[in-house]
Amino acid sequence: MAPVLIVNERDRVEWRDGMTVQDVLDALRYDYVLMTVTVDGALVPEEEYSLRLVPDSSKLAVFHLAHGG
Amino acid sequence: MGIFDRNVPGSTEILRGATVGIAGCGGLGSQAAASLVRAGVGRLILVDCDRVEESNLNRQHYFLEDLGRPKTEALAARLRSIEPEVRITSLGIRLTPAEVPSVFAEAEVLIEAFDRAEAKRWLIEAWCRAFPDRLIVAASGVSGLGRNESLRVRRSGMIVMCGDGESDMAEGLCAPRVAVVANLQANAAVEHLVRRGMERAEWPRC
Repeated sequence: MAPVLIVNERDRVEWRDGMTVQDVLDALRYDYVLMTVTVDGALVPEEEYSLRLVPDSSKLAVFHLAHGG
Repeated sequence: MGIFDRNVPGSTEILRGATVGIAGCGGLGSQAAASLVRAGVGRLILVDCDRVEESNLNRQHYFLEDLGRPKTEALAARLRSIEPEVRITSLGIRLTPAEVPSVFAEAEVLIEAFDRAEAKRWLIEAWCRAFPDRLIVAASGVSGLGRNESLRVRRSGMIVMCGDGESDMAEGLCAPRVAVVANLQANAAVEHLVRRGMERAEWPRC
């Protein structure tokens, strides 16, 4: 059975070798204009989404950032 | 009777020695700051470049006589009228990512309280780069009316995110909903500080 990534404690994505943060966002169709992403609790800067490899069985959090304060 | 006589036992001494940064002194930051001072946090670092406008009074912790004053100065005065002993550093600057490490060097926790989502993102990134072991309590989705059930607190690593995560400022901003989220932020900060303070007391460094 292939390892599974858990996103936002809810969504599941089947992991594959070489998978990047951007691949996970694409798989889940997360297309927020502004967001903050963590992998296993560590922040991933936007410029690294297409570079940062996601280890198998990682837990990701995607926080959509909305205007207002 | 003192101001903190009815505090949660054990929390007052810990919070008195704590420093919290507030980035943005609008609806979120001003309300969170007031709650943090009432809880007993001993020092705040307030950062905001704006002055108080009439349109702020629908949700921010300011009053008619504050109109035209720099927000950091007006808020500092309001906070000292709650607890005169609170130590406040007020910076009326437009914060940049490069300044985050120096401005908040002494803050153990940061309250992210900006308006614009772009600023929220760079602040979170700058804080996590500078202080990967310190908590940032951010907010996203505070707009509109009601919908209490949609408000929540999520955590990943040292990032806490409060709000519904969806609603946008274009919906309009209403005092109770903004204040609820501001107080979720303050509550998370206080919990973290007190828990960590108690852990330190149990496991003193050699």
